[in-house]
Amino acid sequence: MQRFLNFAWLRWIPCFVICLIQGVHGQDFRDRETDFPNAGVQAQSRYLPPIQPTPSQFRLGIQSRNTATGVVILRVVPGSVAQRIGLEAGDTILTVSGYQVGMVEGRIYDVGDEISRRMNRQGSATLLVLNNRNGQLVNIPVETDVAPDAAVLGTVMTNDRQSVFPSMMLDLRIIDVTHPQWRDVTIAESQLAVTGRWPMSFRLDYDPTVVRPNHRYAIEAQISYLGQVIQRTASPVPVNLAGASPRVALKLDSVQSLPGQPFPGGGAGGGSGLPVDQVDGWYLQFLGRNLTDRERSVWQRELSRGKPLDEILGTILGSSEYHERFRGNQRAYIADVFQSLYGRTPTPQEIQRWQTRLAQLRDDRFKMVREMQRESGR
Amino acid sequence: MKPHRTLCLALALTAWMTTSLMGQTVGEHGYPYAPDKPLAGELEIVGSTLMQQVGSLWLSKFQETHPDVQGTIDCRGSESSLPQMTSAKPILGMLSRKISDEELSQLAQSTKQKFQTVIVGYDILAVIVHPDNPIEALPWNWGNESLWNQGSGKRVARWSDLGDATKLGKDQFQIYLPSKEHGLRSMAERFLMRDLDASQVAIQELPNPADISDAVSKDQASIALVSATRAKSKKVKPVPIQVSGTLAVSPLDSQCIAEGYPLVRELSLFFAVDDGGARNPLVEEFLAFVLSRSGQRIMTYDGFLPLTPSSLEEQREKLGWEVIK
Repeated sequence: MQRFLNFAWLRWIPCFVICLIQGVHGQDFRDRETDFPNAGVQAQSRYLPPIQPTPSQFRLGIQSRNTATGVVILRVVPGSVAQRIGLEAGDTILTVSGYQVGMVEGRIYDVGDEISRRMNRQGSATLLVLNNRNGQLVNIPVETDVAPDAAVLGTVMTNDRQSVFPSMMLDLRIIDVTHPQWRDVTIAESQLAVTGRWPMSFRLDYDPTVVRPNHRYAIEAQISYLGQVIQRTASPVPVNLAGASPRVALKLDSVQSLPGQPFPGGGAGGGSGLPVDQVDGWYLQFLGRNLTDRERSVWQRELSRGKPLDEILGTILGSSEYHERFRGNQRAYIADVFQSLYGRTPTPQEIQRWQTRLAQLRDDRFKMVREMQRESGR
Repeated sequence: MKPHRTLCLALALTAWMTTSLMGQTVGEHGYPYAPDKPLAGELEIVGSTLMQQVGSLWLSKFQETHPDVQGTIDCRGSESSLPQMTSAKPILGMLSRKISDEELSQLAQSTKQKFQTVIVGYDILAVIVHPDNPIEALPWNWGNESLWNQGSGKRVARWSDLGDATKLGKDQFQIYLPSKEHGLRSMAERFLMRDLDASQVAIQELPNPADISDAVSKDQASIALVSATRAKSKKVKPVPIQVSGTLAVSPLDSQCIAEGYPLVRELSLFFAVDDGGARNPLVEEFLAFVLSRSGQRIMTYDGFLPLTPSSLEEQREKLGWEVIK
């Protein structure tokens, strides 16, 4: 009790507060990604959040024109934040939290960028607006809790909590399912870290201007780890975006077969067997370098959205960076791709056949590699 | 450590983890690709060989949503795309250099059509030197748009003008240039050769960027300009560019455009518009795809950078599309 009443432990509170602040503002550091040349020494199997130069998708809801005196509002979207805080067409936004916007010394300072930046750093922004009706300057606060109206609210439940743990990511997508052949027409997407508390609640905002009146939409979810899908919804769940804030309850099932399989004779693939490490191994094998942070993030996202590994291999083998390594020697390039895919040295006739084919394809290497992949079964 | 301290530290760490890692919604910037219906028809893509593979990936992904669109790609270089724009089919030209007003007006005269261009991404260029070269950054003069003419009257001409050159073996710049037919040549002349006294530097032409990187990795006094993707090898050192008093920006920084990195090649699409400014519906749809999140992501596949949020909005405004901020 004596120890408890000794308030010396309060000294640690600043540490707690600093960590809290660091956590909140940690996003600023993650916004900036540098692809250093020594990226090759990076740890394997790490997760990188998607690239997001403007982390918030916050929109004020205006159409505007940049001028030397500020940002002139041309139109205010009905129901938007701009309308709710009283902005009208003809008003001019001069500054966002003290930072000038519009055309400044020949350079455009975008009002959307500036609001997103202030919102993300401070949680709020103040607009200095020249009121078109009375010619007065007025400060108008905008808060982050003023969220747009268009959102799907819901919960996600899993059938198998054992194989899911915090730090995995939950991907949510609203897709357009109007036409049967459309598999990847995504109008809104979001990614949340799995908290481990079930059911998980979510709010998925979407841009109402891209919703078409006679189209059908559905929502799907999946949990992935380092580009590998662990669980997903069995099929997309229909959602009516015409109603106000529709609610859905999603259920995840374990995925039996993983997307793509390691490339046979996989060369320098990562030892973890995870798809993104396999891609990193191919970069090292074919391009002589590791994935940069940006590339790792992009491929993780594509893998978690179901892009097969062999398609990524085809993209690497068809890339300009790989092709340039052969210094314009098309025969050497074709022979190397052939060797990688068929696992044997091509005959001169085979090289000639593919060279002719590449010419027929007007040097479209991706197409040629895809054809080779189909023929070789890899 | 006393138990309550341990407890507080654990609490602090948990707070940090919770706020920085958990429950955070993340997403890419840009607009979704939200077509109205699958289209049909023929679409032709011509122009820059640099952008050929990106064009192919765009077309293939576009055809997943529009399976009845027949697409062809025929890339013979940015220059050669201009005469090809007379095709009766919906046609898009890919450009890895700026098309001049004069070229556009000549094209308009010869084809009796109007044309428009939009920027769709960037090829970041990097000045590379030998890894042992001690140089930390090269200053950029915005007024002269030059690395070497700093406006003070004195021009940089030798390594010793930039600092200690003793490790380099010789003081003279050894410049490696791509051959004249290579698209990078004009960029190297613009960014690397302008304001240098050719009589004071050694110049050697090499046929392609891979040869240039190899040569730079073997020559301590060398300098060259390559696409940033080719500067990621540990065999060469990409040099940051000092864009303001204290800010030096690396060409490998994914935010380099927003930070004012100047050695950038804009990649564009150009296409015909009618007298009222309207575009062919298939061209319009393809542009909507290229400027969507999906289309912009594909830029990364072949080593390019997508548009920054503000550039993306500028291009959308240029096309007359609604931009909500």
